[in-house]
Amino acid sequence: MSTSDSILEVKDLRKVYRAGMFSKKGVAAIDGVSLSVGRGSVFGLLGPNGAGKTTMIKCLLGLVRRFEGEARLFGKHPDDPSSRSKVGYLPEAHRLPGHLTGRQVLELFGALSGSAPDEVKKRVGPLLERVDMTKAADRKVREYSKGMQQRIGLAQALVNDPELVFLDEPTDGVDPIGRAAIREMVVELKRRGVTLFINSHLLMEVELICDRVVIMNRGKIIRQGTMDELTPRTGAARFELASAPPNLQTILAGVGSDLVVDGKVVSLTVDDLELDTAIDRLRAAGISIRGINRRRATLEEAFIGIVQRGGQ
Amino acid sequence: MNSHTAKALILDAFYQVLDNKIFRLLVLVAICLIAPTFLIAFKPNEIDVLFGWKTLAYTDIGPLSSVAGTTGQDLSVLAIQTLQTLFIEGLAGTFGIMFSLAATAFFVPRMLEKGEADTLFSKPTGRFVLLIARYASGVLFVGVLAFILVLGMHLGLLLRSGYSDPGFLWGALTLVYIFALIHAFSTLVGVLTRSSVTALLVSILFFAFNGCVNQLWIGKEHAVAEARESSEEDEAGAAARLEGMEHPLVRFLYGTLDTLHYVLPKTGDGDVLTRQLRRAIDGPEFVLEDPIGQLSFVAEPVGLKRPSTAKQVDMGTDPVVWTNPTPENGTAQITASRKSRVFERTTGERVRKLRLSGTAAVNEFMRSLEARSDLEGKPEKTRDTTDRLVRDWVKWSERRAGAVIHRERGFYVISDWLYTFDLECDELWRRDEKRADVLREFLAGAKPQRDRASDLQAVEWYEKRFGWTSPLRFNAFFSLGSSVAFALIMLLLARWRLSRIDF
Repeated sequence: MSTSDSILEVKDLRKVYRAGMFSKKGVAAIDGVSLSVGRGSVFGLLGPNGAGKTTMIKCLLGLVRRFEGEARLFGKHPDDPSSRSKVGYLPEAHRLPGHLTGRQVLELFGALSGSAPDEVKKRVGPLLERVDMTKAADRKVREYSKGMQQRIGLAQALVNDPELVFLDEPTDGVDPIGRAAIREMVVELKRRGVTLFINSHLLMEVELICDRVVIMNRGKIIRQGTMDELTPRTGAARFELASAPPNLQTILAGVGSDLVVDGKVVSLTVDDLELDTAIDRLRAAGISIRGINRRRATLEEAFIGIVQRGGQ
Repeated sequence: MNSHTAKALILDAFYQVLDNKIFRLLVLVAICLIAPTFLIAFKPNEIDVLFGWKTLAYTDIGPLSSVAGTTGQDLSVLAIQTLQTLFIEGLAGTFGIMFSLAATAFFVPRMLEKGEADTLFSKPTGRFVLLIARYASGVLFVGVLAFILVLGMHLGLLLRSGYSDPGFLWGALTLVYIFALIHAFSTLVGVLTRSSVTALLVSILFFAFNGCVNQLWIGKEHAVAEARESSEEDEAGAAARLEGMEHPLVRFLYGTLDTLHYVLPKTGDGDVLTRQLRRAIDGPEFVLEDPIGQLSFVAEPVGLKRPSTAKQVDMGTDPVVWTNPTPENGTAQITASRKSRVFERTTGERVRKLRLSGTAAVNEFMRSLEARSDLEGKPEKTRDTTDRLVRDWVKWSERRAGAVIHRERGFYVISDWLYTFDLECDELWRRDEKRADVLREFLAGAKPQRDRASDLQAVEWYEKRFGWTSPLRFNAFFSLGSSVAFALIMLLLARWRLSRIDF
């Protein structure tokens, strides 16, 4: 991707937290990260605790300062507040001003983002509707449950109609129905060309939503790619058959390994050539095949494997 | 920052203030302080409680009874001003500000707590703008309370007592000014420690410490001025006092006090400025003044008139004479004059400057009376002391052209001057009981414009020195400028620290 297309760019980013004001010792939360992100993708940012995911986001948002290397948002340095005018951010364990109502929170944060009051007012109603908070909009935020705070938090991240959104654990504390609604919102944002960065420990969700994944460990990006690139095929094939003849074991004898017959469903581990052989033998035996499924590794399996192998 | 952002931040500040429980409690307290001004009417001769439910004479009220008849001042005005000073400078100026510091100290640390900071500082608004918005919330907190209290009291006094003192309204600004100075420090502590409890405790301690430094510095300046003054009168005694001040430890303490005074905000000067401003708005309190002797009078003697209406006179060259304008009711005359009481005495080769004491002047006068043969009975000598001012009195009667003339002479000693007030009246004028104490009542309203450190309490002395054209240490511009500079430095340090925080 060319640099001019990217809305987010980091080059050799390094952030060391010193042990004390005068100490030279420190811990590198980010250690030479380079990343360039174009418009319209949904990124999953994965990594174990302390991998540097949140620190990288905070460097980009100007919340963490005095880092080494380069960081740019829409071509501007994070110290320049205007770099954040098209950005939405839902921090992990965020706290909204308890003295305001949900509606006032959105109006305040909309204004802090530089939007005109009329524009903000127009956006607040539909946003409250989308996060299912219309009824509770005029109650003080401190009276909200965790899930409600999370929903208003998400709405405040979107109140300035952003082009880039960072969501740090967006479904934390939200019930399954709320999660589904958030997923729908993400899909809708993606459809509108908004770039999303989702940092979540719920890998199943990331797998459902994201089209690219960045995996970090110990302050470094250890792997990045599309979902297909990161979740290889396991070799396991699953056949759904029209009938279940008693001699299936004999028909498929010597093809692949780990053969399991469960009624009309047959599972076995095969390579591409063996898969063709299995299909040929079943068809030769007059067995009709209704479906073939080649299983991929789940993102969770892939993630654990990548982290344990150190990115290999 | 655009205007939308500014408006939103101001609105947020309002919401934050209105949501604060201590603010609501303080509004209730302010209403309790305002209520008496609506329920009690301070009339010229009495106090009307609850619309006629009860009436009280000023002489029935402890502190006022001792003042009644001695100052010549309107007691209703005195009572109201005492109430205003007690509520605004006393209660609001100390306890009110302490409570407000406690209620607002968490504004900044809470904003910097993880969670809230991430959400707020990730918006495209500068960190310093958000910090200033929180600082302004605190100032607004006190501003609203101060204006409710001061305007409420002003309205109550105006409607019920018919008393209007526009200068009193400045009290609200003074409260805001004092709080704004301390709150800047509180903001810095909040940014440095990011702890609400620490910010609260340190701010209150700083407020108390700052007040102590202010009072100690004034006390020190007063003591030094007293020593300097006495060196002009008693060189040996003054030399010993000044030598005491030259002790290394005392010099170190004085130096430390000076440094602290010049560096810290001068919160006490806010009240001084307000009092001066109120006096300036109210205009002079006196009807007659002798600027050379620095003596002024709040009222003319009852029933007597002087030919001139000039407010400023020189009693040293032209004694002032009041006479009865209706001679058919008898004749009466008061003459006021001033002369120097300084004289020189030579002992060997040394010439010493001395002052004639009031007692010596009275005794000398008594001897001259005793030598006369035209007196009716024996002259009476009395003395009273009010407001640190000694007054000696001699009363006698004399026979003139077959008639008895009543005489009275009051002696006042102020600085280098000896004032004498002579009353001369006939039997007819004296017959009216109301006129029995006309001279005493008139002189109760005599106010020496004392200037010397030895004649004044430290705070009074400082107030007289403090002004827009005074030397640097007593200069109002310097006081305001250095205090505002302190607040700005605190906010700039907070800005610097805030810009380096990693959230």
